Amino acid sequence: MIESFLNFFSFSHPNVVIAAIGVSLIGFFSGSVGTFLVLDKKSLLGDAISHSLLPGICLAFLINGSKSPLLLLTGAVISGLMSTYFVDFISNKSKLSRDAALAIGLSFFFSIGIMLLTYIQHNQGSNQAGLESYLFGKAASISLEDTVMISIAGVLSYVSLLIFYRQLKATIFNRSFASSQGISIKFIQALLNACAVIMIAIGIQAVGVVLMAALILAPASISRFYSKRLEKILILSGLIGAFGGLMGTAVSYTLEGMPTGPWIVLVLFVMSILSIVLNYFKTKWQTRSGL
Amino acid sequence: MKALIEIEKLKVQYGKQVALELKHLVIPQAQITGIVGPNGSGKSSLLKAMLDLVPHSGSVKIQGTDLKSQKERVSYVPQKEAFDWNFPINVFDLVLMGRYGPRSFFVRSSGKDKAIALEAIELVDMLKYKDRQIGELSGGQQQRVLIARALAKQAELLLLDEPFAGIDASTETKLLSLFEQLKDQGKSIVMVHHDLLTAKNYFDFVVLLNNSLVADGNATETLSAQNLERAYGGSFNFTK
Amino acid sequence: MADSIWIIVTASLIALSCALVGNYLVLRNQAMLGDALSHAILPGLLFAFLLFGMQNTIAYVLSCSLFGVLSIALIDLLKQHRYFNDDVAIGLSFTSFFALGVILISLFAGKVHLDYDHVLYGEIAYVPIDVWILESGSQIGPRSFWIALILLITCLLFIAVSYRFLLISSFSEELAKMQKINPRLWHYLLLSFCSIVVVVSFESVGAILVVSFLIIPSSTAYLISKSLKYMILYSFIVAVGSCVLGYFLATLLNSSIAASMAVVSGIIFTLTFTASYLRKSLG
Repeated sequence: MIESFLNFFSFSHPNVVIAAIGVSLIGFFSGSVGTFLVLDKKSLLGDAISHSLLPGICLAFLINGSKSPLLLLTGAVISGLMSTYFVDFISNKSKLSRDAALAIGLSFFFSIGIMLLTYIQHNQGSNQAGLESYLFGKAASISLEDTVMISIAGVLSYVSLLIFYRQLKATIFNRSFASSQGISIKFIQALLNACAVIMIAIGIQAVGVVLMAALILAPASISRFYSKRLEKILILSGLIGAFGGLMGTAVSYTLEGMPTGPWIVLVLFVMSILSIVLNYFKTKWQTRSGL
Repeated sequence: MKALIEIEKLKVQYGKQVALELKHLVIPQAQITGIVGPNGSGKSSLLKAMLDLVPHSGSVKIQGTDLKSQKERVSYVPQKEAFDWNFPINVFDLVLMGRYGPRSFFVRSSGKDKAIALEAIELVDMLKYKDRQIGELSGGQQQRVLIARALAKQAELLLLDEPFAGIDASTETKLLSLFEQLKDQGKSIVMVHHDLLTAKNYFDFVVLLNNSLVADGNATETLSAQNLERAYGGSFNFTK
Repeated sequence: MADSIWIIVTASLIALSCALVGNYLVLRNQAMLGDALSHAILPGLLFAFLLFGMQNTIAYVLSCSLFGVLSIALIDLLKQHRYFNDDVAIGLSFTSFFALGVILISLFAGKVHLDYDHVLYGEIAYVPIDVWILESGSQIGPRSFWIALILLITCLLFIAVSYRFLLISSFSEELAKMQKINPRLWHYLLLSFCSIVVVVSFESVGAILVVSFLIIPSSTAYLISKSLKYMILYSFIVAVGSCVLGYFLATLLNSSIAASMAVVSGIIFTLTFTASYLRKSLG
């Protein structure tokens, strides 16, 4: 088994290399956008978004009959964006809390997705095989075309976030002050939502719909233990996300036939716990040395 | 007394509740103005309406032009309770945000912005804490840093929401003398204040609210027993 | 025809139990916690299957509830740390538990006759329901029906007994403490009970759709009611209505029954929300 694990890192199989690159990129971009979402206290929005991608994917398939990644991605992004507006509208325009709005958006959109998915399965036969891989992720099947799409979408989103970095930082930290500075809060929120939806849509290929929330929130949360400045945390989150993605894929490659999503999540979970434990001992040591 | 801000027919409503209704109010230039009144009397709403942070009807003008199109001339210090002090920034980062605007792109700020931020930090006497993460500061230090952020904008009008809430007496005195200094430089300062006892001494101009304008003018006249009764209901006896 | 009625009735009983507990989740701003719970119990399923076999309902109810409570405990533990605010703690906890569950299923899928696709998005749900359609309903239908009925009665009893305690601890922690009601205890009790409801509902509607049944009817009721008693009543009406209409939608489209019921509840919610919003802005 250890041989298999090491074999993964010998990068001798081109398919394995492509999958590894794809997953690392996904981890990097998800971890990065996750930094903003976590600090904005919106990590569960990531969960809601990832569940709400399903109906878009199914509809895109139904309308077009093909499973071209770009098409499915577009469908996913559209329904993902719709769900962010849905959640915002419910929580802002009624006495329902944001927590309830998220749960409603998540479950409503997801149930539409399942309804469509089962409709497809029963009425379109074998043509749709593979749509389910969006539920848990199949990093191993990431193709070159997928990786190119991941790179382009990821880089575009990341660069947008960098361009508006300072305005994002100001808005997330203190919305009213940012508004008084003339920063357009509506635009910044919309930008963050759009980037989140895009990153999540490309991310579910690796971890699937249900577990995506972990890839969004874990890297940033772990980074906070190792830096007190946002700029460093942003970079660390990307790296930790990439690392988690790579390690998780390596493990699932070693134990054949396993979906990758859960292993990526477990790696990140272990890193979180380790960070808490290390931090606990560090503070204990510091207080003992009288720092 | 020169006029800086002219407010006409202002109405701030949250759903069915009218938070504030003002027919006419003038805020003077180069003075320290205090906005006082009971809880829920619309004090914060007045500030927020001036900054266009809440929907409102009526007009707020600065020397004839709409204030919302002149945001560069106003600087704001929100209530410090509303913040996540665990946010990963240090004092310098926070104050530097006072230089951000809609045309701030990418990650780095200019050398000039950084210099102005340092000046502002020095004005509030927090220079030796500039690399401290904001969660490690005391209440008074946090308030000073927020004020520094507003000062970094170098705007002529400074709006503060309860700047003296929850801070120690010595910080309060130091901040007050800073405000006097700014006033001498020609800046106009407007703050929501919670303590009637100190209001008489702190402010050149007082606005007394009770969801509407009860009185405005100099401190002694505005805070007369009669006006206070109208605003707070129940008689007032200052023991000192 | 009889089969349809069994399905609708059983689903309605499940939906009623979910709606009842869901009302409290919505009031306590713990809707997403309910979502987290429904995911976190997955490893419990596996443990029970591996140790006791599929037919042992009590074993898997207990096992899943245990994992549910563990996940809540983990969330509370994580929240102690200042870098983990509420949503991060919830997200990390349920995804880790769920991941563990998926891994266990993959490892033991052969032994357990479970297809993880089915478990997770509810086809396990309509495997028994489908079976009702294909075979004679009397052998299998009633079992799920009776379990659902017992669940509902248990829920009603629990809520009736703890009505005052839950009401006060949901409303204000301070008030609760003053009345010698321990809010922590009720926090765990309610959520443990929620785990049980989720586990039993799981068999009928699947892990991921449970949230719809927990939250959507109660939220709809919350929009239009001014008291808890009416909120519970309206949530019941929406729950049953969704089951009835959803079933017909599913037969029309030949899609997952549970999903269709959830979709209908979402549609009812959207209509109610729109009506309420229009009334407020025009009235």
